Amino acid sequence: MNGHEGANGPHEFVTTRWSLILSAANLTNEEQKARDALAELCRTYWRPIFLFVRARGYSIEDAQDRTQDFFVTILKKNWLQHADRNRGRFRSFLLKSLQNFLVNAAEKSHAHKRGGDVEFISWDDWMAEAPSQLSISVQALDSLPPERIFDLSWATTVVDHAFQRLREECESKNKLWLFQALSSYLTNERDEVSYAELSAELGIAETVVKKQLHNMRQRYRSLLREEVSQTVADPADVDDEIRYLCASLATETR
Amino acid sequence: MTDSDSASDPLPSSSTEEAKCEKCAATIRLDTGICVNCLLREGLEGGDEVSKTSYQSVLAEVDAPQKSWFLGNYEILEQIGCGGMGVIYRARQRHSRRIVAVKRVLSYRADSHGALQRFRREAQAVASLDHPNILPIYEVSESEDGLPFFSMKLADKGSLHEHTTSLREQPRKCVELMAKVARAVEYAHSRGVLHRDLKPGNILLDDRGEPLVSDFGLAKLLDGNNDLTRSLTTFGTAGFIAPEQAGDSAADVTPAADVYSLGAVLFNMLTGRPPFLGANPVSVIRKASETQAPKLRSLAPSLDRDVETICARCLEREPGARYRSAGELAAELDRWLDGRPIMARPVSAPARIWRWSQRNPKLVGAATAGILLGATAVWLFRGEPQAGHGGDRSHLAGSLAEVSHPAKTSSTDPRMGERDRSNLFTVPGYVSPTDSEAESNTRVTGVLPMTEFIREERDTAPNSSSPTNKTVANVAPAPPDTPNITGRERLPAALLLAKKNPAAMTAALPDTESNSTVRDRSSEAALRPKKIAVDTTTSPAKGASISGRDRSSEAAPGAKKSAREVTVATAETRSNANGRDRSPEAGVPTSKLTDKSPASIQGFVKDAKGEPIKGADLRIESRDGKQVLRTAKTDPNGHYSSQGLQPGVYRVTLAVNGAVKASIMNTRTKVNQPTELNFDFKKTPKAAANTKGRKHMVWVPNRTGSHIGGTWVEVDDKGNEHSESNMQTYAPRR
Repeated sequence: MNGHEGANGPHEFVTTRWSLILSAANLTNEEQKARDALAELCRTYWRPIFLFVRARGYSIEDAQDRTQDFFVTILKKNWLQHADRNRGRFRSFLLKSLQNFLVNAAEKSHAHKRGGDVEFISWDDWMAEAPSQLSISVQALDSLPPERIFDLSWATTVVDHAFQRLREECESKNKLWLFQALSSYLTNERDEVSYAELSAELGIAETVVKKQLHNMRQRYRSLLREEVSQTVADPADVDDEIRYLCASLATETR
Repeated sequence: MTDSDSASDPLPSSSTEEAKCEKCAATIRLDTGICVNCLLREGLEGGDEVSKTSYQSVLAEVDAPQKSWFLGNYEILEQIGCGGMGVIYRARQRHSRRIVAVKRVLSYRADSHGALQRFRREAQAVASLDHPNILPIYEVSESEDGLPFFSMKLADKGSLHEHTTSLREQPRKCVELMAKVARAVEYAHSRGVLHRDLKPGNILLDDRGEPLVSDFGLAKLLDGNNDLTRSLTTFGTAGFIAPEQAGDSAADVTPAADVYSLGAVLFNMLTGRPPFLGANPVSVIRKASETQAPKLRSLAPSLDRDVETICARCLEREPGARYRSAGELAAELDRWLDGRPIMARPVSAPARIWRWSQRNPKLVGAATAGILLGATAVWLFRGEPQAGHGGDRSHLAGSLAEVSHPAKTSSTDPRMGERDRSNLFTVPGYVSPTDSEAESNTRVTGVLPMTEFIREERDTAPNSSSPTNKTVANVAPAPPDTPNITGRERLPAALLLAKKNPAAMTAALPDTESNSTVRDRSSEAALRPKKIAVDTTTSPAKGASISGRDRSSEAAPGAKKSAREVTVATAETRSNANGRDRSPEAGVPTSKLTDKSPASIQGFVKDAKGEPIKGADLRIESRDGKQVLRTAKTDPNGHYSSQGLQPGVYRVTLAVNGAVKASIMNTRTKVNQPTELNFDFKKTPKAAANTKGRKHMVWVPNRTGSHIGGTWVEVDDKGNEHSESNMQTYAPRR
């Protein structure tokens, strides 16, 4: 089932990508599905990985190489065997794997040269074209430990995905204008929103504005939770994962 | 990190301003300015889950007038369509006031920004198509948020989809339309653009009722990923896409896939339904993969049998069995329109049996064994044959001799009946000539699933001049050009998975099977075994053989080890689903590549004029072609080099613009001694006359629009023949 569709809400948790990966680790016939799911997750969360490598002091080029090699490593068939339920969340497992990978890579003097091993995605395409969703100070980037950078980027990716999906759901119903008008109030408390002003601006009744904002907020929450759920094995972990990411964001400047 | 770093660094955009959130004091925000932390916390708030459907129904309650908004220079008027990959609007160009259609990508559908970049490139390529039956694209641009969109002609009359009912009553009109569409598709193929999602909804009609093919090559880019669940949303046009598009090798689509879709669209127009139906897209795809398309006339008995044959040819499951190009299909449709005989023939009974046997190899094996056992028992039981049967046995011996020396017969022999010919294709290694080209005496016919094979010319054999030994054959004509999309570009869609996953990489390789083409009109030619033996006019008895798999144990006694054999890297052998891989042969030290490995391969690539081909892709593969170990590109001088290999035997495959051109193998790479493998394409029309020395010829099929191919490639043999089987070293042409 496609978790992105989100039509069935929480019921989709049973087929989250990460749980699929974990459950299929030892099943040959499920391997391909699991690898696809893993690949999908990696595609979504490539930026945290790259930023982590970068924060470990690698040059951009080297970081690109390492990231690509890391993807290759974890997408290898046998990598799934190492994924077990005790490892918990995809994020933490990925980070741990990445750390191990970099340690091992550093030990190898024969690091693969850029492009020398196997042709890969052009980073120019991939990176330069990717507008960053993350606005963070240079100082913070320099001062924060790589693990924190990883978490920050991860959190941002999660949020951005949910946000973009919300936008597109609105757009597909010709309501991009509504999204643009209301989305900035998603995080506002009710008393912080001037419904009257919005009503006048949009030319729709105040009650309609209220209802729309309420529903937009609810839908956003669903999308966000769905996004997070893809990376945890147990639906009950969604709250914990969100809290963890919140904590990393809240302390990011300390 | 320095400031200069950050300028070129694709890291997060930097800001020295502390912009703490008033609520949580966090500083990280989305581009829109909303605090990421606060957005995250929203996920912890209570409330009911709201599904997409219910949310959009709430959205629909807002009946406020549509607010005009702009996408680049276009004022968006209304949404007129929404597909798996994007949204289409009716829009007004800001200055010209022209009403156009604007299509934009949904970023979430695009998976990655790399995909968007490819979308842009592809859109630009499509925009360059200029054909009266291709929907013109006016502009490719991107919105403020970096998402690409393009504007195109607004086709007011809708698509074939809306006209299916009325067109069904006019079969001739349907064929006329599809002939035009096929020509448009052929034109696009010739420009390196595949459609990949041809369906009635993508064939629009202009105000004169002329067809306009839209959405060229776009859908695939954005829909191409391996996630089955995701694919479910993209299989909205199941029933029109070729079965090979639905497999793991979905990224690997050739013009044959478009030919299939054209046939499916024609089928749909004539019968009112696509060839395959099912409860869901997956079941439709499965049916398309596993069963033969229903006969057209089983659904519309009044239709002409030739049209049925044409549809059936398009809808062959084997890409190589379809029309080899959209242009050929168009010509066929024109023939029918003109009342001339069509070229395709209905699939014969033997071919059906052959296909069945392909699908049920175990049953065939069991049946064959049973028959052999039975025959043996009968023979033993009867003891010495009666005198009257001696002739039969000699006939049998003669048949066997023919198997050993296939050049002694020819399926083009007019005396040979259809049944005889069909029997021949089960003979391994048999080369079946066709009926048209006999001008060259060194041609090989049949489906050449891989782009190369090698023929050795030998010293003149005693019976070489015997006309009966002449192998009259022709090389399978070239497939149309493949799209100008390299495997590398496909990677993101197929995901990184492909990088070192041999199976996935295999899937990403061009489908050599579907690249192959069939000169022989009979469908069974396409299904002939891929072992192709080539006898030259000079030495049919000792003719070098080319096989689709290792034949070292099958070499004719006379050939011994000097027989040149080359493994033809077919898609089949690469993926090798039947597990009969050449493991003994595939023992390349593939897993221990290091930069310290001392062996290397180098060489050059030159075209038929002797000009270096720069930027060509070379894959250093394991001997069986299953693993890509290294890649290299040629420099401006056409040279390439790949270091750090362990000593061993490798296959080097050349691809130009993503299309595999040739593949050669080396002798065992030696320590500290670069092995030179050159791709030197030289036109030698009279190659067969070149009997002096030990010449080797590599055939590279033509590719439309390519400056190489369609020639014999001549290479000199250094004589470093591998002592075991089919390895050779080639030296530069002098």
